[in-house]
Amino acid sequence: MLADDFFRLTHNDATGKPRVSKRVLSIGLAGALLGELVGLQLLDVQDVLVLQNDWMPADEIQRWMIGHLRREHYLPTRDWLAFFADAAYTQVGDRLAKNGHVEARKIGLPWNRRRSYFPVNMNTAAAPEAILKTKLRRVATGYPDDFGYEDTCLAGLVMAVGLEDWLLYDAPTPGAGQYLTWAVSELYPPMLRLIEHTKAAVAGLALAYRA
Amino acid sequence: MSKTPEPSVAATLARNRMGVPSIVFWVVSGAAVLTVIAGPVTTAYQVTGFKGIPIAYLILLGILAVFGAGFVAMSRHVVNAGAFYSYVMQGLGRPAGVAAAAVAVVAYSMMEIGLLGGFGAIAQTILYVAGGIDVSWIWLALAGWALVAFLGSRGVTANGRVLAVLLALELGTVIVYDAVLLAHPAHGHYDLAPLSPASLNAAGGIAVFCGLLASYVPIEASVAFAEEAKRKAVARGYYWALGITGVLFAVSSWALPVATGANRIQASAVGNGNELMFNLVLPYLGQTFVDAGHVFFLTSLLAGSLGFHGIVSRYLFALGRERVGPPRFGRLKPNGAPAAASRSLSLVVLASLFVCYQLHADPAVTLLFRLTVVAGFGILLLMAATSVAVAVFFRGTREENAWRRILAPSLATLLLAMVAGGTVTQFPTMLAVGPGDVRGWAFPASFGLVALVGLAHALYLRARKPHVYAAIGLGASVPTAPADIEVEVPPGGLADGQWRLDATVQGHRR
Repeated sequence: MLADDFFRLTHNDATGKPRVSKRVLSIGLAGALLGELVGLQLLDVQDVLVLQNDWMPADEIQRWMIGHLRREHYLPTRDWLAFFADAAYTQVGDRLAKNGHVEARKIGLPWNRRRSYFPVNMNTAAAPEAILKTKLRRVATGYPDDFGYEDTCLAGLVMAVGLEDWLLYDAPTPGAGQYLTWAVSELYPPMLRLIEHTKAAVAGLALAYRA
Repeated sequence: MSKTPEPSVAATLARNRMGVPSIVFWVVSGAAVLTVIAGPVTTAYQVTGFKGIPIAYLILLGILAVFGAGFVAMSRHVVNAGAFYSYVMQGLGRPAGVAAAAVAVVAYSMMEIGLLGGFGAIAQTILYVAGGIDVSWIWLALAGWALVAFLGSRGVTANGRVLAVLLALELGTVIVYDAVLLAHPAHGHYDLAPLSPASLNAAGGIAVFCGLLASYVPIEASVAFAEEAKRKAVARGYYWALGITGVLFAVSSWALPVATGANRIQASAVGNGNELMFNLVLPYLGQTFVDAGHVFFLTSLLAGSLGFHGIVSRYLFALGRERVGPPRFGRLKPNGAPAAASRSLSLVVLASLFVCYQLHADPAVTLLFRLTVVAGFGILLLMAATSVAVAVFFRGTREENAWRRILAPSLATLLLAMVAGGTVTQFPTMLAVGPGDVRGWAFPASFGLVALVGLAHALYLRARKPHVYAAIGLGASVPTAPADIEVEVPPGGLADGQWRLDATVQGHRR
């Protein structure tokens, strides 16, 4: 699932520590969750979100999101991102825990306990990062077919939360960076717009001193 | 997912947004009253002997209240509400907006440089008085610069928890100091002359307005939270914060001449320098309380410098995102910091401090006082332009009432223009140079030059990069489609079309 892979990518595979601030991470996760609906062609993304088609997916989080989207129509995409960001971390974390990828633990000071998720197996935690970075390296050697739709969505969201340099760290730059930027721009338009909204939401946090 | 009724989007967003108390706390503590009074205000008394500072603060409070009516109203309708230039752009057009952005970047950078120089000066005094250690101000200013540069590139701003606590303690300290000073008036009576408009009629007085206006800059931050604040919180936050800081500034700046006697304020300031306030409270509060005050003075000079550093970094970030400035400024680090913008700014500040040192500038008088007055003049121009922009923006609409739409902005423009005009004519006096001296008009005129450079850049963009020009002013909403990036075809010579990704969506888990 897009959000599961995004979660694993944005956390250190050994310590489970997030690579970005909690607020930015939450916005990115919300974008990834909405991206799952876009991928199922259940959602169109403009400046507002518009539900498409009438069937319910099997996943619990997706069903929950569609329930909200059905109740309140045509709200701005930015508002939906902020809304889903509120619960995105625990929801995606719980989904990963259910599939055995992470375990949930309560951490923090006694008056400020919060649920946090830690990788169960370093190898599986690192898998999305390894796969994506390997594919980026292969781009320069001429194997673009490996870099598919989901990979591009994942890369686009990861860049939207400010992890572009980290993603491209050992890729053959500037070729890989340019390719990624172009590839994202060629994405299925609703997904591209969703990534742009996510990036704008993150920038908005920075401008309001809340990133 | 849960059985209880799900909250609406609006309710959830409102719960997470900042309320009036947060905004007011952020602004009032950011105003750094102790630092302003012990720093540039004391120096103003020393250099100009101008007694009307308290009434000037109250008059500015009135002007800003009028300005706020239109300003806050427009914040409900614009994107990127955190920046004056955004209002100018959306009211007066893109070229004016870019010109305003250039003026803002220069003015706020001057504030950072001035506060760092002031930090060097005050730290030098304190080290000498307390420990007999004689270190040149430049080394201390550089130490402050290094800390601000480091924290700035990490995205730390003055609303971090540690700084918030320090600033709150500073606020408490200045209130105690004021109470002590006001409880012990010189000769046993309260001289109300500094609170009388008649005191404004003094040489150099109007020019000091700009320096005092710079003290109010944190007010602008209240609308920076517009997108993150509850609907009515911005307006209420603005006026509460303005009222509290204005009264604090007025009372605190009045407390000094009350304690020394209004006719002796300049002599006392000359004799004590920036230690004036501390020396006055020492007999009543003891050394410990004064030492604490010194610590807060220093920490909030740094916090103020960091705050302006953050403002300029975010301006550069917004400009970089829109490709008005270098695109690399528009990138965020994983920690949420506009690090590239921050680092470039730090280099400019470093060079400026070095130049000031080479020119043998007095850090307390030239940097902490005069440079911040010049910066305040730039901010004054920005605010006047914003007022005009508000009036033009609402022209022909009925979305807000007539006071907010046209009357308040017009009145604010008039008042700010009067202050600006008075400032320009009295700058030579404030700088203590002769009427024909070039320095007297060069500083105000430099902002005109900066605005022209911004204007020219906008026109260049319109001619050469129209897609960039069209996106100016959209702030964080600018899409990042790379219209002007060329992709290298990687080795292997793949045909065009093989790169294209599936436009249809598979969507099912592989």
